[in-house]
Amino acid sequence: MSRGAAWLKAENIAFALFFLFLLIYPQTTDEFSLLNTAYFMAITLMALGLALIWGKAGINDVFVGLTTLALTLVLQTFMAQTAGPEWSVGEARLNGYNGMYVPQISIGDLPLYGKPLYFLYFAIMIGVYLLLRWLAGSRWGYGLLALQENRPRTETFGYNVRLMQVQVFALAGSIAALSGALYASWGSYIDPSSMGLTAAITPVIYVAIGGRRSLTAAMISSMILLKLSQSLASSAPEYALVIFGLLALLAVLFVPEGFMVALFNAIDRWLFRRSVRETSQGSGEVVPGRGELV
Amino acid sequence: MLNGVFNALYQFQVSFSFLLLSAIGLAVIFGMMGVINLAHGDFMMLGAYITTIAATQGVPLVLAIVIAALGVAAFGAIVEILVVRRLYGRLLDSVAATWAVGLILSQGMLILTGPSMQGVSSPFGSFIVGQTSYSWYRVVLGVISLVLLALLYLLFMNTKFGLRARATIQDPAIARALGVDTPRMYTMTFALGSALAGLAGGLFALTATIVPFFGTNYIVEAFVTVIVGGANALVGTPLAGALLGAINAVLGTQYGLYIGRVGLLLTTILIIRVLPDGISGLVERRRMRTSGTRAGK
Repeated sequence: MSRGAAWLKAENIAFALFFLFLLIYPQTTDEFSLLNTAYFMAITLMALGLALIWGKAGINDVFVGLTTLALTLVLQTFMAQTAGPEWSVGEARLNGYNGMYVPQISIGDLPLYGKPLYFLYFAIMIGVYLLLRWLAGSRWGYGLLALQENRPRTETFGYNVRLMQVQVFALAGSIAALSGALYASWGSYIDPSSMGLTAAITPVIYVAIGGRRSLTAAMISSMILLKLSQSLASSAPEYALVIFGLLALLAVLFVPEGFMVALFNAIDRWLFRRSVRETSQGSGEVVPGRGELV
Repeated sequence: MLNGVFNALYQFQVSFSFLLLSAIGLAVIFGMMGVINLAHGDFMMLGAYITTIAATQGVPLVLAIVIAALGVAAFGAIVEILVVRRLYGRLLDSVAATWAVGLILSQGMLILTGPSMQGVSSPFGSFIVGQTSYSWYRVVLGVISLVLLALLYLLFMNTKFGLRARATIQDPAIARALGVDTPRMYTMTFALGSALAGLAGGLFALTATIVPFFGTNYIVEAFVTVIVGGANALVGTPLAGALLGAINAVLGTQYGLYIGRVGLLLTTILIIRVLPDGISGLVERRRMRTSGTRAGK
């Protein structure tokens, strides 16, 4: 393989096609579908943040999952009981399950709608993606890669592993917050039902099905799966979750690297005769209680 | 005054037995193979459905609950052989996979039986202390949870199965070398944990409405009880159930349901931070230290 064409691989081609498609898409469709796609982009941002934590930094210790899940439930339970007037921040009442009104993004007095809104969300999503790609290719990103491969060895090489993990977590958190802000202002409404167990696990499933080791795979597959789940929900609502469950199960059992990543790898092998770099799967992963259970 | 004390004790006893019954199956599986079975709540739902269907067909209630436990055990064994077996040592994947199994189960039940089912009311009636009426059945649940703990203790400490199970927990490689069929132990333990889920579901079916998302009412509490308890189901789960039950009962009766739940979850986060191996990890360390000094003498 020649070094000059290292950028020529399935992942980048897929991203280019995806980018072009989203650029042309507004010319071919109506306002409703555009807003709908903007909504997908807001959620896909969250999946990107998760792929950063889970795939790039290799933070997949069970206690991270457990603590954050417990924290999610604390927040939801807390927010659920804020219906009374005593819970407010300045003018804004938290309102419990009655929900909060969220102002729309607007320029001056004119709220953004249709194409401008679509392109704003598009620019934010692509911007965050490119930022993360750039970070992953920087020295810092190489440190993350080392961390993911072997944590003790990275520590002995003098990397400040804890600091890096805090940085990754903070960055992913801010991406998730951005996603939440875009989501809430898209719908002009937010209530605690979008904070529960299902809401916490859904992006994990998107990333697991698509492939957590590639930001491109996480982004594109989230968009596709969101579209799929929405069209299933309108055509066969009772089967949507069953199909989703089956997809997740199949991915975990037979394609643990994710469907999209497996597809990228297959195309790379077939088209460019390039051997796919094998990364060790989850070294440094801790199994609770039974450290030596393999 | 005396009524207040009795009320607090009753609430504690109810919280404790609900936490223990819903968590013990999850804890047995987690302790044995480090797998968090997110389908646990849906296994409980399955137990509740089997119990309700059997009871409305005229099967005696006790027998119906036993059938539920056995049925869910068989289902759990199938899930272990088909899915969980491939995922040992891949914790997040096993979480995602069992979550998917649970999703398919609850959604499949919704398709098969519709949004709700006529339940069976709880037996034994109620009694009155002071001004308040209490349910006998919930007192019986407390007794059942204690009996269940005793039975599990006997199973793990006094039978061949228990000996092999403990050997597998301590060192699977050496257990295998000594002739223990460890994959079979995992399947049997998973079935045992599933049976406990089915039993809990059957018992709770008499106190709740029977809906396909029955399990979501209990999974969070079960989950945090296991985390707080740690890997040893026999030591950790009852202690965690007692601690969390007390917090839940006190805060719940003083400040309402939601604050009780927030307190329970905050305690959990605190415990994960200071005792990552849970209460049973702490007990284990204490025991190791005392036996270590004894060996040193």
